[in-house]
Amino acid sequence: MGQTSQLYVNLPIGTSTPQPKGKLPVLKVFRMQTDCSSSKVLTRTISELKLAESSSERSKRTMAAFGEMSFADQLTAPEWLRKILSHRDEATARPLLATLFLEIGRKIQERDYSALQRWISHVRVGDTLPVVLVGMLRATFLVRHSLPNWPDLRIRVRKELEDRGMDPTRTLRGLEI
Amino acid sequence: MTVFDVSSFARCTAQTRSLPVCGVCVWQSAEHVGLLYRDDLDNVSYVLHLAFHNDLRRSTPNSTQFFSEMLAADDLNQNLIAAVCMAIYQANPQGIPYGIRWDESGFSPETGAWNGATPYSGATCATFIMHVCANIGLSLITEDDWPRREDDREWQDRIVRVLEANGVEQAHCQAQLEVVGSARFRPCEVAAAASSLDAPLTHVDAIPRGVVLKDFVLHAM
Repeated sequence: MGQTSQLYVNLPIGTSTPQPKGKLPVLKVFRMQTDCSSSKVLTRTISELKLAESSSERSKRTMAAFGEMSFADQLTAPEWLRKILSHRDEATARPLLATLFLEIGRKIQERDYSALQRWISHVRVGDTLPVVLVGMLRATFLVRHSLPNWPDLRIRVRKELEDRGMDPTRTLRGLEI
Repeated sequence: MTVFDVSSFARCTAQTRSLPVCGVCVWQSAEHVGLLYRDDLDNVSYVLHLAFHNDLRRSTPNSTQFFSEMLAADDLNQNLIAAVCMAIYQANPQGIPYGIRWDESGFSPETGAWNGATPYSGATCATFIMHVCANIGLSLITEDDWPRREDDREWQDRIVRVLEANGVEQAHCQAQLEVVGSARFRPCEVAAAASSLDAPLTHVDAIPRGVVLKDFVLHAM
């Protein structure tokens, strides 16, 4: 027989409400029936909750990696994007870049420009590989007119490349239109 | 600064260890061209090229080919072109139509799949490379004012006959026939542009550099 337990769970990805920068995630209380098969889920979820509750350091670290992203945004950022934005090794970045082009392409196909704008807003230029920064710009180049924050990203990337001693005129060739 | 040096081209050999992340390859008496790229998923270098109608191939580099690093792009953008090659190969298992006119076609930013401007638009081996680069905002050649050459017209006419002889649908062949005489970008011209530091090139620079490259390849064979 199942028993009634109180259980904290994170909101599902994609349904969380935007949170002010730096806030912990919104948690909701659900009442649910548990039985033997769900006890593993319960245990796992509670341990995740504990992690979330005691994660101010982790939160800071994550915020550093994802820049201006709120926690809610981090939840809505797809895994591949989180992976590529936090990737630190240029030599092994190419498979991720192929994913970047295909995933961005999929959103363009769906005309989901708000998702693309959100993804662009996730980019913190100071903490992202240059090849990823330019990849974001080039992958979205053909729909840039539908992305109000694209020119701003280009400006920020140009400055970042300059700051890193690169030649932005050559690297961003063709994107200065 | 030398903006184009034909000696940047070298023969691919089985012993070639230092193939670039992204380059350009010419072979078949310099009448065919493809993109050389390193696929990290397989840890192998490939040549991606449009061999014929609906026949996009990913081949292993071999000793009949001459390659150069894609100097038209810096290291960072070479990485991106290599990534685009990986994506385009995945997204076009059915190949890409062969077409002799350069138009607004390209690879769909949506899926990486070929997106013809008209039902019968296609690419040649050379314009395939131009399309791949244009897709991410990199132009190799400035198409405006490209000269129409009589021997290009003959080549285009011959290609249409080859398409017909190989059973390509009549409507597609007919559409190609209607654009015979349009500008042709030759494989060597595109390869020369891809290996030039000062790309995009106008015909004023691309055509003579293409001649130099073709001569180099023919004498090295």
